[in-house]
Amino acid sequence: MIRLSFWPPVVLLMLGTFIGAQAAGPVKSDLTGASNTSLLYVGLFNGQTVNVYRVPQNEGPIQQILDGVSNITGDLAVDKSQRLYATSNAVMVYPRGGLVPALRYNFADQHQPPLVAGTAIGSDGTLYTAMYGDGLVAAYLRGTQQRASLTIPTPSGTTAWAVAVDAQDNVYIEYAAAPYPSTGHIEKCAPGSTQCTDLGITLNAAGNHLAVDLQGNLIACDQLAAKIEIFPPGSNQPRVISQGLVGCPNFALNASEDLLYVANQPHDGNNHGVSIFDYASGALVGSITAGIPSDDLIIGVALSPVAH
Amino acid sequence: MKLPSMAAAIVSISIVALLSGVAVGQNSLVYVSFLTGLKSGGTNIYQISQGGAQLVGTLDVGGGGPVAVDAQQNAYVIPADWDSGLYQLTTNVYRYAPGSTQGTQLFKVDNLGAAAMTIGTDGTVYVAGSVPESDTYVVAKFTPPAYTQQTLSISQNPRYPTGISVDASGNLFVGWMDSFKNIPIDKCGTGCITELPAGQSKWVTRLQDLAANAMAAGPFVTSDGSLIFWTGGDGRFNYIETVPSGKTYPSSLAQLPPTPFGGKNISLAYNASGKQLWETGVGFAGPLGTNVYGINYPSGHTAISFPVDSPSNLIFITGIGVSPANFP
Repeated sequence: MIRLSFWPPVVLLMLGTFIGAQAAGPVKSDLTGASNTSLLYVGLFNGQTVNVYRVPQNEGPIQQILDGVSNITGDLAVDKSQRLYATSNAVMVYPRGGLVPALRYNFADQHQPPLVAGTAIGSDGTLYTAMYGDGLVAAYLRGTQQRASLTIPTPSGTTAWAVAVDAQDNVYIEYAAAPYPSTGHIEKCAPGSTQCTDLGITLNAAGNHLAVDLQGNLIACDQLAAKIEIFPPGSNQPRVISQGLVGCPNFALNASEDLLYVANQPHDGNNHGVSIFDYASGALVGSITAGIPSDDLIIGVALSPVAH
Repeated sequence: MKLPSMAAAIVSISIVALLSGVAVGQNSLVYVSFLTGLKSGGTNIYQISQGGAQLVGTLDVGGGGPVAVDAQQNAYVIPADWDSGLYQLTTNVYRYAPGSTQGTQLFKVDNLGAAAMTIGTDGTVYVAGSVPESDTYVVAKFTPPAYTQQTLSISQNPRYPTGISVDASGNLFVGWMDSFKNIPIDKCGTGCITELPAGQSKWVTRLQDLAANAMAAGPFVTSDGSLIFWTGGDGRFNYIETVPSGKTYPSSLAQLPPTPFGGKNISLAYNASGKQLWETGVGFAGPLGTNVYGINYPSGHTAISFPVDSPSNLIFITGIGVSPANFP
């Protein structure tokens, strides 16, 4: 049968609208510049794209990742090798500057279709995924996409919203009941262990990302309160960043850990772009809206390189 | 009969060509096969020259799928034989000597609709296609002089062949678009390139659906073993990828605009110099007036474009070929 101008069923399953790349002509595959140039990745659900920005330059996206992603349905993450992990049901991995995927985690060992929320990459390249649909965090060793090396269930009646891993490979899980909004909590799990300890942190509603900085501070989003909360090690009393925020579901800290990029977006969408904060003072220092339609959903913010 | 003397006898149309000034394959012929009815079609022949593209002849055979050109510049076309479900029922291959409009039927195979075709340097015809009204896909070879069918692959996995290419050693490569089942588990889930190494009977997946994700056309194998192919998402992106031998990730990629190229529903040909690809829409993405693009490789710059605006009863385009064609 000849190929007709219809999309096969797999593509018809896609939701949202298309926003095509606006390239005027052929370009090189890698516009991202030197490997020490900082890149910001912003995942858009309706746009079915990951926008790539050079930062701190205040310019529009320098390229868009389109191949291998349909709707961006979960978090973005970057590993030490500057590979981008984009969640589009499966997690697709792109080398820095790459427009086509190089690796895929399809979670064949999990319930299908998988529903991945937050993601994090360990120092050894292990991918940690908050499996929202399954109420667990799954860990996949680098080079092993077919079977999780570890799964950590969240407490009964809850599911995993976000995950982080520190330099010692302790795993932090942000969990809450589904659906939104439900009170969020964070637990800490020893490396390679399913034994976790609740940290006594309460969020009015969980965000979609969690991070640990080099000093061990835990960075979380209280999405209902529209606050970034930064918890020193061992404390459940946070420092707050909230200037101008209407939400903070996804965020990323730059490699020097002096700037925090936050998806400024309430739960129901209508984003205000990406807000940039001085991490130490919490002062709002800039924003990025170019290439981010206000009616789109930002799902995933990541920076490359990452601190390590 | 040679084309120059035929040109006056047929409706010769000057094609409005856009020539950007970038070098194009001079004095080459581009064949565009088209459908005019379920059982009728033809093949336009365009002369590419410094001045652009000009329609210099039309073969009365075509519309049955792909076009191929052999090392002697003979053109191979297939007449239309569609059923009402738009399945091509037969692979009935005609060969035309360079410049001739008098074809010779080489062989006819029932119950196989060709979607991709290439010719080995020894004249062997390789076809990838489907059994009508089924999800059965077949790769077959037809070796002269008898052209008896030798089935190389038969599969119930509903993938669509996007191209077929054979290298000088006889290694055979087939591109596949989208598998409709086992997504995303199947390693050919959203496109792949399979290889049948010369002298062997077991196929291997040369590229799975990562570099070959969103496979649209090709591959073409080159003399150094690289694979050149087109990936695309309709209205989203068009990439010309080159993956070196032994690698699974492109060494270069040309990013073309999301429009006006046909996204996934395209046909591609690769010229002898290795410096130009010819692209056009096919199926419902290839109606009357659809452009043919000459695209410089590897830059991706469009060097020339012209519309396929005859005959007036053209329903859609089914394939494209270029002469001289590339042989690794």
